[in-house]
Amino acid sequence: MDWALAIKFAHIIGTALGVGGATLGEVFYLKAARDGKVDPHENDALRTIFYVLRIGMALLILSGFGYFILLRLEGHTAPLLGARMWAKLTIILILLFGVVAWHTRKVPMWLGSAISLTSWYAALIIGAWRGIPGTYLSLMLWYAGAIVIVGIVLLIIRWALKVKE
Amino acid sequence: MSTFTELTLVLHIVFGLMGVMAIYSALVVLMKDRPTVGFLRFMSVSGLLFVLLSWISGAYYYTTYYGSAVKPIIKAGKFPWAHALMMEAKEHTFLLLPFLAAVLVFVVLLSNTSLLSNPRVRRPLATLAGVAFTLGAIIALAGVVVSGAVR
Repeated sequence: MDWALAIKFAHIIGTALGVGGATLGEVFYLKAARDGKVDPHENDALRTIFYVLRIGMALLILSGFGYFILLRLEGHTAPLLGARMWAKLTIILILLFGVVAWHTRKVPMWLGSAISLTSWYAALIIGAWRGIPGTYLSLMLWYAGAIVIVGIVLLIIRWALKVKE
Repeated sequence: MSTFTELTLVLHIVFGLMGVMAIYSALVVLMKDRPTVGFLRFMSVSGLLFVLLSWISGAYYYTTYYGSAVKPIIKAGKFPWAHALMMEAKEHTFLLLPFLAAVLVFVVLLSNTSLLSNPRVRRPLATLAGVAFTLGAIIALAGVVVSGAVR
């Protein structure tokens, strides 16, 4: 196995853990919040899920920079200034700062969830879709639009499930 | 590029990344009402250590290779601003980072658990870690731009 393959595996595993963690975290949170309180067992499950999600994030960032190092050493530096690369970097930064904003209660739970879910899936889609068309700006506009739609859908789901927060 | 030079570049990037991630971990811990002090100390010290190692490896790479072999390519290419603006900003912004990381380490090591749980200590410390992380992220992204301009 060479470095390129190892980095690819790590990147895919990181993405899987992150996307899975974000999705399951939201599902479990909604289930837990239906009665207005998160009891210790539910809290423990959520903490475990978010721990796995953080491992996924760490793997993703390390392997992402692994790709960057490979491209640099091989002299294929054009993608480093490409729209896909910078869209993914921006989304990861938004995720990281989003955690800070959520912890400091600067964003409500439903918006934090919308940003988290959209960001993880957007990173997955942009990463998997090699020839994705668009400039950096158009990709970010699609991303912002997706956050709005996911936010609305989550609000509807919260209302339908009678989630108390 | 010789194998050793490649290795110093790789180590510079990896150490820098590990340093920024460790500082971010310290930031997240500091945002809790009751931070886990052992983990906080470990991440703070790791952050400083990795930042210093990134500094040393980056300095070696810059002085022995980048200045003579890479900088002329960037300045003669399509994106000369990648050196003029990004690399210069990276070098000078980085000067702050080891000192911010060191202050974080000293306060965390010299404080006891109850002091670190006190919001009047914890919140400014979290802000310090947040600033250090933000600068680290900017420096990392500037590095991506500089590398992207090497064509």
